[in-house]
Amino acid sequence: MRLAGNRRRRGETLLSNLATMHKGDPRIPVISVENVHKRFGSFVAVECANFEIRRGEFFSMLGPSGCGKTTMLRMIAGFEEVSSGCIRLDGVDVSAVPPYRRNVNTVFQQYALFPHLNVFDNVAFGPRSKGIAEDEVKRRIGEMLEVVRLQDYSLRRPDQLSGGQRQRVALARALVNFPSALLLDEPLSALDLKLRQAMQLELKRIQREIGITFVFVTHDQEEALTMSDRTAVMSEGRVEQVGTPEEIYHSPATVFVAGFIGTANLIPVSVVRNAGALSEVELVGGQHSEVPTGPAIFSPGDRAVVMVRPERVKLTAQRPDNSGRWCTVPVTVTEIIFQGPVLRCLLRDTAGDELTAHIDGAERPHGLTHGAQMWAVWDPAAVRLLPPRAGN
Amino acid sequence: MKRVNTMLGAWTAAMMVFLYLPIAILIGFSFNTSRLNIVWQGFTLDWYAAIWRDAVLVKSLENSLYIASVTTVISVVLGTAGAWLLYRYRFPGARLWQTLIFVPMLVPEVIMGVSLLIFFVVVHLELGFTSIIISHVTFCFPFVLVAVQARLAGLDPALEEAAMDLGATPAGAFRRVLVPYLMPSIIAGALMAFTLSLDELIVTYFTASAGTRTLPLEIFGRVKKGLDPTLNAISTVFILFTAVLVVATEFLKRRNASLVSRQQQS
Repeated sequence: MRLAGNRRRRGETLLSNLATMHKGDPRIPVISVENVHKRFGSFVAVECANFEIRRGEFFSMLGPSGCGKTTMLRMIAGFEEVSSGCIRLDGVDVSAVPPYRRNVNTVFQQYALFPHLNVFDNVAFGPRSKGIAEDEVKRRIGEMLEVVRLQDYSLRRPDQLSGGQRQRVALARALVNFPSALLLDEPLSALDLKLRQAMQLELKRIQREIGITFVFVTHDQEEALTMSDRTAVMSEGRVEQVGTPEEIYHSPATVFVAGFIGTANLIPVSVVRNAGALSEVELVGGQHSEVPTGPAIFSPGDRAVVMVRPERVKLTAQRPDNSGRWCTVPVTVTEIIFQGPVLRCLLRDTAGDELTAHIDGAERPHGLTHGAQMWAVWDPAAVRLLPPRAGN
Repeated sequence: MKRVNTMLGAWTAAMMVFLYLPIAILIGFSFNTSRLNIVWQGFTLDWYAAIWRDAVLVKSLENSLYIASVTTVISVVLGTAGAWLLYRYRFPGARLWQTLIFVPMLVPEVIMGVSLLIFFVVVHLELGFTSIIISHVTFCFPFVLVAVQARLAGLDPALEEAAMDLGATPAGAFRRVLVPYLMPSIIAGALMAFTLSLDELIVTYFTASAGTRTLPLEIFGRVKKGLDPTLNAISTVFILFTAVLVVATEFLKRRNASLVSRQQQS
């Protein structure tokens, strides 16, 4: 109990230190990325990126490998130069500032701990570079090792630590410099699943405790949703959407985002009429339905995609009578998969497109059997109308 | 099976005798009372004491140690810098350079000696310590370079970035992270350079002046005039010294290798 109290007290010193050491204007974004392009020869790694990272938030950059997220992070850290555009750190253009003069620190994918130094000296590397007095270094590292729960390991060498412990040393080594933002490059990918999930919560706890902005790169959408306040979804060098996990899940901006985050039914439709907030579209099977118009503007005759999440799709044996309001599509049930809380039903519509419906396992609809002809039904309000993927 | 083992054992023993018997005889007779290296008369340490009374011999030993030390320092700087350059930067002809660096390790020493002598004559460099040291560096620094390169191959490139990320300038990152990382290979390379320089006879023969005779040169010169047990004694000292250096080098190399493999496992 005494230990816990002691720890809280020292934790508070650290917090107040951070508050005094790092008084950034909360109205200025910590990082702003303005029209940033990055080319390697003829290869475009990042194309016209524009977004802001707010002070104190847990921000993630999410996308499949090769989407440019790591390059983006390396440009923020200063390891890569921008080809054009500018990156501001605390409002100041740092595009031409070398990494050792930028007030950001990185947790590397393989941690990059210095093998010839013990835990204490690894963590002390940054403060010593800045010429901070040795007794201050000692005090700060003592506190930081408590935050990451490694106070008993300060004399160990990196090769005497487990993967999770190395991870926490890397974290302490970066955070002890009180950076404006902490950059994390897929730091959990080297850990096994169980440890990874524990570290996700641990990272979130530390971030909340010390209030530093985290910029987290990952290809794992579940990880991004679990941890982030906001996420930038990237694909092929472009930032497709920036938003909270809920916004991205419920209101994806593009077909790519809809498909990359969770499962999505993407149904091709043609636009019949554009009526401002609502657009009339023609579904497979010929039904016309009015759905909310998304961020894109369509004219009559345009091809579009209707996105609906599987959990919003219901299955009925008969077509509902209020078919003017509900979206209805005739389907064949091709597979029923029991997944505990939900039944995952794979469906095929008359145009041959695949659909997925997640049905509450406790409310199995009458007549749901393999090969049954049924109606997939959903509320038009649950729909997101998106432009078709480029090239389609 | 047993027969094969016995034969293998005998073969090994014969090889060891062939390799080490001359050295054993040399060491044995350095403790012989007789001036002649043929008959054993009794045990003495007089010849070891005689080394220190022979001013010319001591001077040549001093010369050798001085040349080997300076050669080692220059070789370490050149070898480490060269290895780093070839690792870090991609420049036209990098692979050609890589190959050219091995040439001094392979060229016969006589040819090295002659070509260096011609070179020094052409550039009007008077023979002496400078010419010997330059000659020794040409074949010693590639050994340092190769040792450092082997270690660099296992380097995580993120280490240098991590150092800069934590506020170290490129020079600071080199000094605080890379040099400590490379240190085992630098020491191994330095020991190798020191041993090679200390033992060198042929190249030195071509590039030394009368006043800068090294120990191998001095021994070589005296043996032609007749055998002297003092030479046995100083040779024994020399052999032991070299053997210690070689063992130390091997030990460091092995530790180096196990360090690298441990890092790769983790």
